[in-house]
Amino acid sequence: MYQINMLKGSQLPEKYWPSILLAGIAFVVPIALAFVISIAYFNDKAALVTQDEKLSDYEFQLREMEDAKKRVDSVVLAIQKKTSSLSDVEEVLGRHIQWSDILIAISENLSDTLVVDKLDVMQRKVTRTVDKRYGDKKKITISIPARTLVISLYSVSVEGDDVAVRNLQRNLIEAEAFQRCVKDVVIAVREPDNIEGKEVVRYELNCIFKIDEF
Amino acid sequence: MKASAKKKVLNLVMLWIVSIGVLVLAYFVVVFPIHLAVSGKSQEVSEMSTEIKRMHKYVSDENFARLKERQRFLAESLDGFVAGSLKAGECTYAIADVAANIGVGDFTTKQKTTKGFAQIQNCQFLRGSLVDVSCNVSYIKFLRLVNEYERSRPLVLIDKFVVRVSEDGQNEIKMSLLILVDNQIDDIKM
Repeated sequence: MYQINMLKGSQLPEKYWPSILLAGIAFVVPIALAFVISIAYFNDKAALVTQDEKLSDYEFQLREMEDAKKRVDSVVLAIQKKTSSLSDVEEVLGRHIQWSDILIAISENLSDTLVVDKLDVMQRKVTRTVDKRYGDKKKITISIPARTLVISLYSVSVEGDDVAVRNLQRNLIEAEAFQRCVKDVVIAVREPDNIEGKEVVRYELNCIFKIDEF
Repeated sequence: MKASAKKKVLNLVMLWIVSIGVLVLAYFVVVFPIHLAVSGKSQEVSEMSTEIKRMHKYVSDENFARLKERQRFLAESLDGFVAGSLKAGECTYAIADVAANIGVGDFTTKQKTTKGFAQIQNCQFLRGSLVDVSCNVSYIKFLRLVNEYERSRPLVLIDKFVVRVSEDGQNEIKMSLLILVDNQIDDIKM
């Protein structure tokens, strides 16, 4: 096929560009983007209004419940105080001895040849550093009682009854009530004495109570 | 491609760049802050919703009744150990009553804490009423007395004691007792 170019290429008509289509393409993308952004904007605006309404509603509900909350709060506070009081009771009970079991153990293990004429609880204060139970968590120094129960007794025979006293000492050490709270039982005194004109042998047993658990 | 076409494409690209730039700017200046606000509010609404649910449960009649029951139970438990401060003046009477019930004669009591109550170390909610007692009883009655005090409600704690056999064969007893007193009284009216 031959191409006859009579105009030698100078007068060829320019190729046609569809200007309307081009203009359309040019503006479609920005308009679409603007549309998407606008939708996002109006969506967010609407969501904001809805959320503000919800918040107002919740705040109203909270205000409505304020009286009921105060009523429940007062009971919760009372419970906290009672619980703290019971915790205090536990603390105090831990520093005290249940004497009835101790006294029963003594009377159960006392031989007929021995007579108790004095029971005396001696106390001296010892200091301990413990955690403060209320307020700031500091250490505080408290004084707690170190107790010794002195059992003063005598044997009815002139020569004494060392065996009965040693048995009493051993039985007391082994007694359940003593094992709970007594560290040791020692014979502190053995001496001749005179009771109402009668020669006897006097003994003193010292029951030394534990203080470590305080 | 001819120069005019190139120019048109160039114009198109320029238009896109400018319009996208404007839109991005508009997004960051107008839309994004609102979007952030929505996210923040959304979080706030979610938290508030949880709080409302919790609060409804907290103030519900069932919860109130349960807490009241708990309070009553604790108050009863505490009453087993502790005298209310309103009853504190009656401590010495309570101690003497126990002794009278088991037939202890010649029983004397003396309140050691005349002005208010004694502080108890490391305890905030309790005070102590200290009472000294003395009497003359048999050893068996002394044991009963100690037992009754340790079982009584409110509890009577025996701090220390001396038992001495006197000339008439009776046991001369001296005891220091402690009654715990509630430092904070609250009513439990329904």
